[in-house]
Amino acid sequence: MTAWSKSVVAVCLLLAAQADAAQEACVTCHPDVRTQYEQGVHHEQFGCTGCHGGDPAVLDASAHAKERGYVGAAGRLQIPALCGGCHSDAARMRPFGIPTDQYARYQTSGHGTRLAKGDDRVAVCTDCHGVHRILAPTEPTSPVAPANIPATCGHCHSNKALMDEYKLPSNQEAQYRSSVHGIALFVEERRDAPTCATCHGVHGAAVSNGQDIGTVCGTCHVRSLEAFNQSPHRGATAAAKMSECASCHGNHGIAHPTRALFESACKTCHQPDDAALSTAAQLNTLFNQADESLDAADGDLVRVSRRFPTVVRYRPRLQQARAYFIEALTVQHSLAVTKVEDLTRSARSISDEVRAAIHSVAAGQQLRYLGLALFWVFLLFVVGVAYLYKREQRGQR
Amino acid sequence: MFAPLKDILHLDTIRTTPVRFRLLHVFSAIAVLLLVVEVASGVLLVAYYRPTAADAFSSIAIVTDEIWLGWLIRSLHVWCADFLILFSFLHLIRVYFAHAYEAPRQLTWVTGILLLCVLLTFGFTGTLLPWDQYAYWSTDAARKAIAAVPGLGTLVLDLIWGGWAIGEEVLLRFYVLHIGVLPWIGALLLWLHLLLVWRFGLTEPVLRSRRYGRLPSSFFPDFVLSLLIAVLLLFGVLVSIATFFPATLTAPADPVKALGVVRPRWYFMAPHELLRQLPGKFATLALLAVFALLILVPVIDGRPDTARWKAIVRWTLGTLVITAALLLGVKGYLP
Repeated sequence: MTAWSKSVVAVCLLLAAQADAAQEACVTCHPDVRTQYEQGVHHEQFGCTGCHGGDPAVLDASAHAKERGYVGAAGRLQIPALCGGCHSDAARMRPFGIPTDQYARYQTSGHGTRLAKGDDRVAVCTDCHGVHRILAPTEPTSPVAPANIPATCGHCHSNKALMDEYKLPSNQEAQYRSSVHGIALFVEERRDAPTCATCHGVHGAAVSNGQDIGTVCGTCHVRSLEAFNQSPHRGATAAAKMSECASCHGNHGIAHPTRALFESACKTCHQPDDAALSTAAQLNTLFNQADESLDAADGDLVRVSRRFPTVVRYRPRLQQARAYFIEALTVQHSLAVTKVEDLTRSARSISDEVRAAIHSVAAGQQLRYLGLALFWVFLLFVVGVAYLYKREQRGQR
Repeated sequence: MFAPLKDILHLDTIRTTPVRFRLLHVFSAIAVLLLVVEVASGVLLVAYYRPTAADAFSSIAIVTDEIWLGWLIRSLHVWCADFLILFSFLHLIRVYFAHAYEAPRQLTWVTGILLLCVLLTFGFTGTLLPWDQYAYWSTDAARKAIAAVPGLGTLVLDLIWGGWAIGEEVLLRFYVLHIGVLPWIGALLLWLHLLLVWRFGLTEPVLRSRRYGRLPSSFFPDFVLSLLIAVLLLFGVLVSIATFFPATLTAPADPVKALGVVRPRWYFMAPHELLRQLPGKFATLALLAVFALLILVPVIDGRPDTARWKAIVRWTLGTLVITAALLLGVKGYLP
């Protein structure tokens, strides 16, 4: 190392030490903030002055002087722009692999558009991400970690007084928690389960207009949307007579779909004498038949496998039947009875085939017992002869 | 009916008096005959078994479900292995308490212990072959238990496992050991063992029953017919067990889906529990000490001697070891 480069390193070290000292100066008066801040992701990138300005080298009230660049705590209306100052800077964000469109998206969101009109009660960055202790979404304790998002959104959206002012319902979080998606997230602990942000967007959070809700649901339920687009319901949606998926399944409180929907959902739009209800009845019958057949095969497999564990090798075949059934569940959104009939018939025939194979294995057991009985008769005969011969030999001696 | 056979083979001249055969002598003979069943059923299984990770499970499933009497052959192979090891242990215990390892039978004892080790290795390697969940995870548990033994564990793993994770390579190694290496070592040791038994004969029983003095037994027909009856009845019991409790086959081995609680075979439960209870180095020392003691029994107590104190020490030590092994085994099965 040359003398020149040694000097550069020395100067850098000195500046770094001064920066540390400066950081320490703020926390001398704000130790509680230090604890929170040091747990966050910004801790290693910049200090207090990055957001609040001021002179960290001064250890008295003059550090907060405006002439020293002090801006204090940003107001709610300024927070998105303050955060966006760095988070919209591609050069600054590149090392972290973070997108830079959050601020732009926020401005288009329901929150952002209202904020632009001066409404400071809407959510800003700090409401969701926290203030000093900002964690990455991958951290389980982060308020924007998947499992915490419903509570984070619900913090405002479950506040009835606040939501009443916007004429919005305040029961979405409660509905979501009891929904099939909420159960997947909280009970089954599936981190891929959809949360509020999955459907409404993250920074560009918006409310669906009802007619295009299928595009949201269709992001995950791709095949169902394809089938729906081929159904007569597509036209009804275009005519704004129904709200795609939500008309039958609901929105935040989506329950696990059962065939009870044929009884309840269809009748909300169709009159009892409507011919469309016969389609529902046909579909219901097909699904019931296939489901019974699959359940019977599944039950037989479990029961027989207790005595004959090798029958578990029929499970993959049964899973094929289940796959046809699931495909039929998807295709039903097209309301094409013949297609559903073909698929459910395949499911039934495979499950019947599996049941027959399982029963033939079990039937072999009766023969085994019979064979064993005959074997023992022969064995005892030979043992008897051997014993008598032995006695006879000993007797002769 | 047996007279011509008797004359041809001179059966009545084999082992002359004063040897008196007792029921306890049947253990070793049954063990040998179980070994014959084991070999015969093993050969039949080899005809269908495919030692690859992709085919092992399905080939066993086909043997069990589709081949005529395949389920019986496989179940007999599994149950005979257990009974073979059980009777070998019983034989070992009888020989110990009869102090049949004393001169001139020291080498008979040593070959017997080595033969038992080979049988246990047969059991260990055979467990993996069905390639189902139990096979995979019990072998994995054994690998971890062996690896935890300082020094010796790594050596054994390197020698037998070759440093592989459990997969196709280990399955093939175990298969080769099970059908290609161990049978030859076992056959050689068995031949030596039987040759020595033949050379030095059987020992007199330690505890004499009231009937003992009445009539000397001969090898033929007394012992042979008793053995035949015992073997036939045992075979009947084995076939019945195989029919009512056929060898199980869990789901195909899945290295990602671990089984909750995996217990080793009953004959490995005591050493497994010992390894769990004692810290690494002590466990190694304890295992080595037990093995060394077993091998060295005829050296330590090799001279024929009727001293009462020796008999007391022998019985106390034997009872202690058996009780400890049983307690460790039972503890291993407790939740």
